[in-house]
Amino acid sequence: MFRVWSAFGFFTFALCCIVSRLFWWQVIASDDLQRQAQSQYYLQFTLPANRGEILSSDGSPIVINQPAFLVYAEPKKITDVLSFSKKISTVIKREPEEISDQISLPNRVWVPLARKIETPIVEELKKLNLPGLGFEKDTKRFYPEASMAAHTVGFVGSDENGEDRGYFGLEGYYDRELHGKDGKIQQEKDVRGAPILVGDAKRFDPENGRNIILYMDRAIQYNTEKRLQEGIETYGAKEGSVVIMDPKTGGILAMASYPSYDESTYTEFSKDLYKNPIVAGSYEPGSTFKTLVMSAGLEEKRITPTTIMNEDGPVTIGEYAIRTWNDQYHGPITMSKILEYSSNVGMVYIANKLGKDTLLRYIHEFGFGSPTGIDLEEETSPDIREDRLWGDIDIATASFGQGIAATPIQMVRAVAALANDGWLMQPQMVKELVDTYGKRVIIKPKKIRQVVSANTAHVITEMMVSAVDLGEAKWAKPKGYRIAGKTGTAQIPVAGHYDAKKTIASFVGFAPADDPKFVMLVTLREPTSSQWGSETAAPLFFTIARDLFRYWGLPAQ
Amino acid sequence: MHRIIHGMSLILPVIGVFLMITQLFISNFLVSASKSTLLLDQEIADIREQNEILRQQVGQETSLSRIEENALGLGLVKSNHIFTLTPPNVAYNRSL
Repeated sequence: MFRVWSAFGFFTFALCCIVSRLFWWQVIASDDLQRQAQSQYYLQFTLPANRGEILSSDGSPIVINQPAFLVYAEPKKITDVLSFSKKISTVIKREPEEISDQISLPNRVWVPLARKIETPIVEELKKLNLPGLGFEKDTKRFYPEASMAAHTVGFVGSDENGEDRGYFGLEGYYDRELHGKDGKIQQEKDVRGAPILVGDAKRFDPENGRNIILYMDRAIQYNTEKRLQEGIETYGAKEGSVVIMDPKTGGILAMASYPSYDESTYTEFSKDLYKNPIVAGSYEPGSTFKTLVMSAGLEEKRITPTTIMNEDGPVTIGEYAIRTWNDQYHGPITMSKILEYSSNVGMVYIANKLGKDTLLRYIHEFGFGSPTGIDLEEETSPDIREDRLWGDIDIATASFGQGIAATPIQMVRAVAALANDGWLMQPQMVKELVDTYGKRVIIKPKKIRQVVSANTAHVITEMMVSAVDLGEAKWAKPKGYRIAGKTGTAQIPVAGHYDAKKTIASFVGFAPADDPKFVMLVTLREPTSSQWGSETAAPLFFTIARDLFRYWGLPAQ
Repeated sequence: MHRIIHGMSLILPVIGVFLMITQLFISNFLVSASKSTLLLDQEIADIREQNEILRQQVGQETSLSRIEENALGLGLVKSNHIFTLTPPNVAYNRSL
């Protein structure tokens, strides 16, 4: 009986061992074993999506992709780590000690060594014939026009997961549209790694990023950057910017600023340069602002072009005295003459006619104090203090563009309204989005509001034409063209007071005045050849305007 | 009944052998087709890469800086004197 029970106990014990072992394999280790099995009989790889391209208005490439590779090491296949590190260090430009430390880390089967390596360098590495050195396909951005439009375009870096991500400009704003979605293939494979056609297969095609087509004209952008560079050198300015916009659509035809950076080697430049000063930098507009205040006065019918005021000396407001820029006073003058002479005293007269509430309303209606909504990542807007905090002196100085901050894009958009029958448009970089299948999404121009009537816009246009023809910058104006514009010379606030020697010289205008094709703002910070806008920014504006007339075949009128 | 069973016992093995041989041929065909598919996929990937390289080269050669450089090298010069002969619409005013 004992032997029977012993045998029974033994077999029961053996059965329990088998069952528990089966439980271990089929339940506890099941996931891990499935993964291992899948890796043996499943072929699995990612189909990378191509990042969308950025094209100019005529379809010319501004940013495209080029083949690149991720270079990696498989430490288990490397026999001599030091020799391996030394051989590849000169090619991928990393310290050999750094590479060998990385490869020597324990339990590493795969070590990334360098990303975004271009094909010629990869060919050089392949010639070394090093076991344990591998390459995985990747892409990298390529800029056929080099660093042109760097601030507008932005750059592609990595996010916290090592994935490509756009930063600043268009790459940042349109990152989701440009990024696309990687695909995947999972297919049963045979012992040699070939796919089994009748086997289990799953395929998710990649969705390439959408291409974006800009309003930007490549030739105008190229020329504008060259002229700005020449202007910076000629006038000895520290910084400068030019923005050219189509007043009817809000489309940005060109946007250039100095200093700039090269987006293909962005890590070599200071981070301060990444932000586009045209949408993220603020300045006091100075006398260019007078056109807007004047148009407000005309719209409210507080003044007409022939209304007379007596410019007989400085105006006192509290403890302050407002003078003209050259301390010259012309006696009885019309509103048109106020713009021609760029009279601060005259502008204070108009501000008083408008009153604080109305003036502030127009400042907001022209778009100041809030972002324009342009499709660039880093746009900001300087705050405008609350209405109740504005004193008499603030209103007076705001009437000639001091004591109020704006971005260049806000300023050019506001003046563009005067060129567009009073309609304020949303500035826009991108005209169309195109997917891989050719399907186009057109981004329509967006009208924000009509700030002044068409009649007022036409009247102020004539006054601005007169300001150009008879004002301080008349010597530089191209003959035969009707250009509406205004010079500006704003003192720069430094530590709570204005520095008399440091100015931002600017000129804003549009042409041809009767049917404007472009509106342009030129700013030069701290020009040293002359502090005045009429002698620096204005001639630069007219030079670029001449180029545009020639480019578009616009004859003299 | 006996004849039917006898007949089936002769036919069924023949059918079985025929199906086995067919399966061998089809499997063999699929293996070589699989290999071709793999090679085609590789070729597609290579052509895509070539296209990207060509697009990069075309972009570089047609860039404005390259065009300007080549134009200056060929002896073209920038003109500083532009004359406008007539304003537009003059011909429209003329009656024939």
